[in-house]
Amino acid sequence: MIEALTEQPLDEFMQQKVFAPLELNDTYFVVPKAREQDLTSFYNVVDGQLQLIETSAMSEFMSRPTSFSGGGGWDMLGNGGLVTSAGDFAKLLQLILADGSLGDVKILGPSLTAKLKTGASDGLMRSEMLPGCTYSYYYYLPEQQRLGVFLTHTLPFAHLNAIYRFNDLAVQQ
Amino acid sequence: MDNSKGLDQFNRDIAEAVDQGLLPGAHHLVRESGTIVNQQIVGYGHVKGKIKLHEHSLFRLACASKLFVSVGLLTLVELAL
Repeated sequence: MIEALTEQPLDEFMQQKVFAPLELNDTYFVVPKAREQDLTSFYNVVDGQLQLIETSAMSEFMSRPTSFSGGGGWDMLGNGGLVTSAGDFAKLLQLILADGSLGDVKILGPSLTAKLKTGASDGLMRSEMLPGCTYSYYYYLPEQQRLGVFLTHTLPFAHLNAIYRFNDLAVQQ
Repeated sequence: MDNSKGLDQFNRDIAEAVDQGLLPGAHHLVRESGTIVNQQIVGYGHVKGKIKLHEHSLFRLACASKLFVSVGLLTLVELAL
């Protein structure tokens, strides 16, 4: 949708409108070669042992996809194609808690930002609680001005029950 | 309610999982009113070679990418208003 409206590749649009203004210098659709070592290797757990799935060097995040709008490539990226650091993720959540502005940088107005604060009956906005869907957990509690980020690089990550305990910690504070 | 004990226990369990080889590593960050109240960076970005995770290690977001893109999409709505 973003590409259709702006006639820009999604990564360029996001860089201009969100990543650069917020100085999210660890957030990428495509990781620069100079930061290859910073991109974590990716693992699975088989019979209680870590098994390497992907090194950073072989990762699809190191090269720009060949398919763009209409080919399905960027659609997939919008759904799940970002890498980031915990610090950058926390900054994005802080933006939402701060009604769309951080310091002198305004990304969204308060009324639109409010749309990112609604939808959870208990006020706890959080990552989907589907073990295996995601290994990057987050929550933000607007009333308490509290946020949490937990990032790892293992699939699946249900074996430690961490997502449930992580979310429990949010509401226990 | 102070749950610093809960956070400490969670951090210890994650560190233990790394020691047991069940998890390569993790970065856990909690902020309240803009201040960091908990941060744990434990384990390895690359287990082979024991290259440690650091503050700017990059993780795949998977489903959570949608939150970032949602903010981008809303900037277009803002322009249209």
